[in-house]
Amino acid sequence: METIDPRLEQTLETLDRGVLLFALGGIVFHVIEISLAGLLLTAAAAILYGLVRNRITNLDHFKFGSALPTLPGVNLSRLMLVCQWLGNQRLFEGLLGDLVDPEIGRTHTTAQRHLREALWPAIWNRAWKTVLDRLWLDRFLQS
Amino acid sequence: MNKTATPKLSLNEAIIAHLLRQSSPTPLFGLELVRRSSTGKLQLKKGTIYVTLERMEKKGLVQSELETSPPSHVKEGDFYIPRRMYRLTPLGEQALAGLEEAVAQIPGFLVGS
Repeated sequence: METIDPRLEQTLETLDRGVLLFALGGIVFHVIEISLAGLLLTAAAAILYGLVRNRITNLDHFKFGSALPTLPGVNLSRLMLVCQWLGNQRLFEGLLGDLVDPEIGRTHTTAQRHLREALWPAIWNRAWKTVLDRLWLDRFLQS
Repeated sequence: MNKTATPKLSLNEAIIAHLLRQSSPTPLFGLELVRRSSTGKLQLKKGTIYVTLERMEKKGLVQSELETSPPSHVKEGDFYIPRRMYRLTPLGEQALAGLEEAVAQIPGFLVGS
């Protein structure tokens, strides 16, 4: 599996933890202050940081980055972008591989439905696991 | 004593390890694992399979490689990219055996209590 420099990974992990802890602190503070706008802004800033950070660290790790295969009616570059946001190359490869299946890749409707059905749970799953992992709670990961 | 701890398996990891052991030495791709699990009560979901497989690979429980030739149903001009095939590692087998051993002890505990 392609990996980034371990020192860079360690530093980024520390940065992630710092941002997440400050974001959680900010959310708690805004809940106490009953400031919905502040709460939403803090959450949005943390999410934006996470997405951009994953995209930057995964820019070169997606094998099909330069020569993405095409499937009529399915926007694979958007799928790649979402997977880069999630920082999950295996998910991208796996979902692309699923489209090779005759039942799924038969029409663009079946392909789109499959991607939609797989991508949303993957996004929640990934987000939840990242938060638990960064808060040193990864022992509670069960799925 | 220098003893390496065997990683513990989550429920989904155990299902995956079980299916991969069943199919050994033939490796399986993610969607095939989801399909094979759909006959049982414990089912894998297509939305979480790849995240779980990635974690298992990081833990050394499975190893993967890209398919070397397209499946027979793919014709020239069809959409095709090599799929990632997974197989269980010796560590994965050890972890699954450890889990099965622990589960086998449960009836004894229940009867004894």
